[in-house]
Parts: sequence; C-alpha cells; structure tokens
Amino acid sequence: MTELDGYLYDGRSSARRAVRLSVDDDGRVRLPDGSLLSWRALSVSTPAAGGPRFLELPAGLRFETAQYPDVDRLERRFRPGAPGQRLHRMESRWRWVLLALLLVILAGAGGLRYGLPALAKTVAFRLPASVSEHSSRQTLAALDRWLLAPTQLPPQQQQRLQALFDELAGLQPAEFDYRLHLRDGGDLGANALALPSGQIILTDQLVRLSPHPDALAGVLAHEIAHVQHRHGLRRALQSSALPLLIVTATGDLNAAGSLLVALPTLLIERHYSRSFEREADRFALRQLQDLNRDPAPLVKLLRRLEANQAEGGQPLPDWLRTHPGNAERRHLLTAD
Amino acid sequence: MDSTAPVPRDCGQAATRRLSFEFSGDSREYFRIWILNLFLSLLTLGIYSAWAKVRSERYFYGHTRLDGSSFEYTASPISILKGRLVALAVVLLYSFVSSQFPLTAPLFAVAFMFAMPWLVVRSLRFRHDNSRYRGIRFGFDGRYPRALIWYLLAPIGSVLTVFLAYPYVACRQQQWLVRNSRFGDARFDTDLGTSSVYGVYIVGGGIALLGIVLQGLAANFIPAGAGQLLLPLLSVPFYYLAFVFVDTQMTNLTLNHASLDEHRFESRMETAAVCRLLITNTLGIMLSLGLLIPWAKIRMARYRAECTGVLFRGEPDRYIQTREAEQNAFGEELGEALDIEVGL
Repeated sequence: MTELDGYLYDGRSSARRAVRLSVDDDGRVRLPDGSLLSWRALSVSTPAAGGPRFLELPAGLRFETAQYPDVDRLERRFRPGAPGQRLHRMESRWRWVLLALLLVILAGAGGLRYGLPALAKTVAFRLPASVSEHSSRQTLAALDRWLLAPTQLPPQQQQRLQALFDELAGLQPAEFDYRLHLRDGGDLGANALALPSGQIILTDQLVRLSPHPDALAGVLAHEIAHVQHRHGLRRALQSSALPLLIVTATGDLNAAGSLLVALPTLLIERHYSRSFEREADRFALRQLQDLNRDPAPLVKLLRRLEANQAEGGQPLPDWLRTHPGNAERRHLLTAD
Repeated sequence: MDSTAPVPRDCGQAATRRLSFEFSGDSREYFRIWILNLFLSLLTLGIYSAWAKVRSERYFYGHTRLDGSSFEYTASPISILKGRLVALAVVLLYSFVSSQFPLTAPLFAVAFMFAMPWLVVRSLRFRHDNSRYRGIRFGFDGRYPRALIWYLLAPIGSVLTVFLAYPYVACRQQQWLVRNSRFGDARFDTDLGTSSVYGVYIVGGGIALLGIVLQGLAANFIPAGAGQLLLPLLSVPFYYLAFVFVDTQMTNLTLNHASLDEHRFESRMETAAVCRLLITNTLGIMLSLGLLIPWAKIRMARYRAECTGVLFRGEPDRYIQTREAEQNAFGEELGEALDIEVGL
C-alpha cells in the first residue's frame, strides 16, 4: 500500500485540489471519487531526476506529486521496462556517468583533431576547383584597393620571378590556373599570399628580404601548396562548422556564453591553420628537392622574417600563432 | 521536500500571500543528466540533442515550484529536431555562401535583420505554448508588425537621436513582451513607465562613461609603448558592469511592474550578486574545460528563482485553458543558433 499526496488538476482551469491517492499491492489506484483504476492504465510522465511526476487520469484529470521515489518504485513494480526507465537508471549510476564522461572527452578530442578536418578535406576535394574563383577575384580586388600598391621591382627581376614561378606552376596538375601577382606590400610588409583559385601574391618587401631564387622558389611552392591542397576552402568549411559544433555540445549558453565559445574556437582554428602551414612546408620541401634546389636559403629567409617580426614586439606563444613556430619550421625543412 | 501540505482555501475575499519561486535542482544530479545527454548526442551525431534539450528543460522547469505546483515543459523533441535541422541548414548555407562570395554578406545581413523580429515572435510563442503551470498553458499573442517596429525600426531610429531615445524603445519592448503574454485565457499587464527605464539607462551609461574617463586619465600617466596597448582593458570591466547592471535592473523593473489580474510579481536581483555569479561561473567553466557548465546553470537558475516572487491576492484558480495550434520550433531553434535571447 502506497499513498501519494499531491495536487489534482482538471486540465481545463487552473483550479487545483490537494488529494491523496492510494495504490494497493495489486496495483489498483483508488481515486478521490472512490473509483478504482489499474496503475498500468495510467500514463506517467517520464522521470526527470527528482522532479515532480505527473499521472494522467481519466477525463483529462492530472495528478502531480513530489513523491519521486515512490512513483519510481510503483513504476518498476507494475510497469517494468516503461520508456525512460533505462535512461533514468543510467543517469543514477556513477559508473555510467563516468563512462559517458570519458567517451565524450575522447570523442570530442578525436572529432576536433581528426574528424572535422577529414570531413572538410573530403568535401573540399569533391567541390569543383572553380567554386573559389569568384571570391578570389573579389578578394584580390579588395586587397589591391586597400592594402597593396603596384610593384616597384625592376622589370628584369620581375621577369626572373615570373620565369621561376612558371617553372613551378608547370610541375603542377592543370586543375588550377596559377598566376603570380607582384605587389608592393604596404602595411602588409614582407609577405606572400595564396588565394584559393591559384592567384599568388608576392610582396616586394619579401623579395628584397631574400632575393636568392631558391628561397623565393620555396616561398612560391609553399603558396602553391595552399592552393593545391585547397586550404582556403577547407578553412572556410571548418570554421563554419566549428562554432556550431561547440554550441551544440555545450548547450544553450547565454550571458558569458559568447566569450566561452569564441575562445576555444579561436584556439582550435589556430591549430588547424598551423597544420595547413606544416602541410604546405612539407610540399615546398619536396618541390625544392625535385628541382634540385637548396632548402637552406628558405631557412635563412624564415630566420630573417622572424627577426623582422621580433622588432615589432613580443612574439606570440606557439599555441596562439597561425603558423608553426619558426624553430619547428626550420627543423622540418632541414630534417633531410 | 514536503510541498504537499494542504493549501488554505479562500479565506476571506482577497488574502494576500507573498510567495517566492523555489528551485530544487542539484548540480550533481544535473551533471549526470547533462553528460549523458552530451554522450548520446555525440553518439547519434547530434540527432539526440533535441531529446536532450527537452530532458534538460524538463529538469529545470520541474524543479521550479511556485506555491507547491511545479512548472512543466511540454515541447515535443520531434518538432525541436525539425527546427534544428532547418536552422542548421540556414546557418551552414549562410556561413559558406558568405565566405565564398564575400559581397553577398551585406545582403544576408539585411535579410537577417528583417527576419530577426519574426524569430523573436516565433521563439516566444514556442516557449510560452510549451510551458505549463497548474495544468494550464502560457501563450504569446505578439505579431510581426509590432515586433518589427520595436525590435528593428525603432532601435535604428534611436541611433538618429544619439541613443537618447533608446530607453524609451527598451521600455516599449518590455511592454510589448508583457502585454502579449498570457496565462491560459488571461493577459499579463504592466504599468512600466518610461522614466524608471531612463533611470536605469542613465546609471548604466554613467558606469560606462566612468570607464572611458578612467582610461583617458590613465593614458596620460602611462608611457607610450606596450603599456598603451593594455589601456582598453581598463574600461572593459566597466562596460561589462554597465551591461550586467542594465540587464539585471531591467528584469527587476519589468517583473515589479507586471501583473496578472490582481496578482503581482516582484524581482529583487542585485547587480553585485549577478556579477559575482557570472564571474565565478565563467572562471569555473574555463578552468574545468566546460565540465562545470551544469553547476553554472544550476546556480544561475537558483539565484533567479530565489529573487523572484509573486503576490497572490486570493487563489489563482480561475484561469481557463485555451486551445492552441501546434507550433513548430523553427523560430526558436534558429533564434538560439543566432544567439537571440528574449524572455521574461
């Protein structure tokens, strides 16, 4: 015999009545009007850990009780295997909770480290090479308008660079239309950029920093690698999926939420960016070897770039950088 | 907990009872629900997340009691799942198209601006319709044209007045929210006045201004160089404080001026306490790499419930259920994906 205290609602108005239901050992429920009903004929709301339970009675009546454990016992006894019970049992055992915790951490780390990049790579290589043409044209126009100026290099040097570039581009499969754009870097300084459709921008400042053809061939091959491995598209895909994944995983965060989502997103995006750069460095190294060029001048160029940046202030710690640390890059390029 | 003690029946014409909301959620208990939700969502590639949301909302609603009766969240996981899928498609399309065709971004931005009030309406309607107390549903009757005026056109217009008219707009937003909310067949009402809203915004603006002034003064004492770069950090805490102050005090004002027939509401949240909660929650979540999210959510819910109360005059027992059409969750889910948060 179990007694359940609670409120009875008629479902049509907000009026309520404090009542007591009694359930006997055969699972018969005695309603306030004296009628009997089988427990199995009731519908009981699914458990939500310690919260109230609602029993749906005939004629739209509903009964609310706070006697959570009693309802739980009645359910187990008279309706074993009702929906929600198994989940509820898992929630109440720490063993399951710890297992779930472990698997969540593993799945989360694995998904971010391998899953998402692999997925983005597959999608990016399925899309036609022409998807990025429009955006690259717009980006180049915007860069020319706001940041870059026409090149100041002497015509002879321009021709030599073009020849060097043609030699490299000739080695690549014909998917992309590679073009070299020489520009005065302005505020961008010594830099090289690749746009996803095969437009490669090299600044005068970078050429002046290290005019050695082997170093510049290395830089150009690095930028070609970004195009060929579709890093731009992969980055776009990964960064559009990332915040969505984080929000889905952590649930609806408000107030402090934006910072809490933005920070991990930034760190993970930087991680992805560094692995793209590593891929491009390895590709550049292979190309230099194929052309019988020496990687040493490229290493020297990296060192000078580093010295250049150091003048600008504190370098960022490795985990905040978009590129791997220079020590690591030098190591990669001089390894074999 | 013994919340089933017999309730005094209508003793006298209008006995006034002051009752606080009670929240009985427990962070360890909710942690277990949360982690299994997360696990099953990952296992099903996110499909379970709709069920997870219902489970977690039901936990918070169920553990919120007023006068011995608890609240119920009745949304169906399937309609939330549908909403999420559409929202996901829209967000993916947007972020991909705008990254590939940067010039389309402004077009999207304009489209979203006009869709935002619609999302506000849909999301309020979904949430209200799926909330029940004493077996009776809440409801929301606001419509797009008004939402467009108070959530898009008027805020844009207030820019022309150097934001001097903004508190007026904020006041009208709150009035619109409250007056369109229903419990069963009865509308909520409010006597919120513009002057008290101006009071809140003037103090909030003053706090932010103080941050700017301090930063300006400090700029004279710090030598040029790396130190100057850190200067903006000086005013950020003031902006944050101003934001929390306005948010907290507006919630208080809105509830303190709201009524349902002869019943009134009250809210006594304190800015300092909310700040303390937000800061410790943020630190906890960061240091635990997210594992303290359930703890943070429970603490916030508990504080809000403790500070909110109702002044009942007589028994709230004559509200009648109205029939409702099934709402789909698209608006609410897209709104959530875009971080739109409106509510009472």
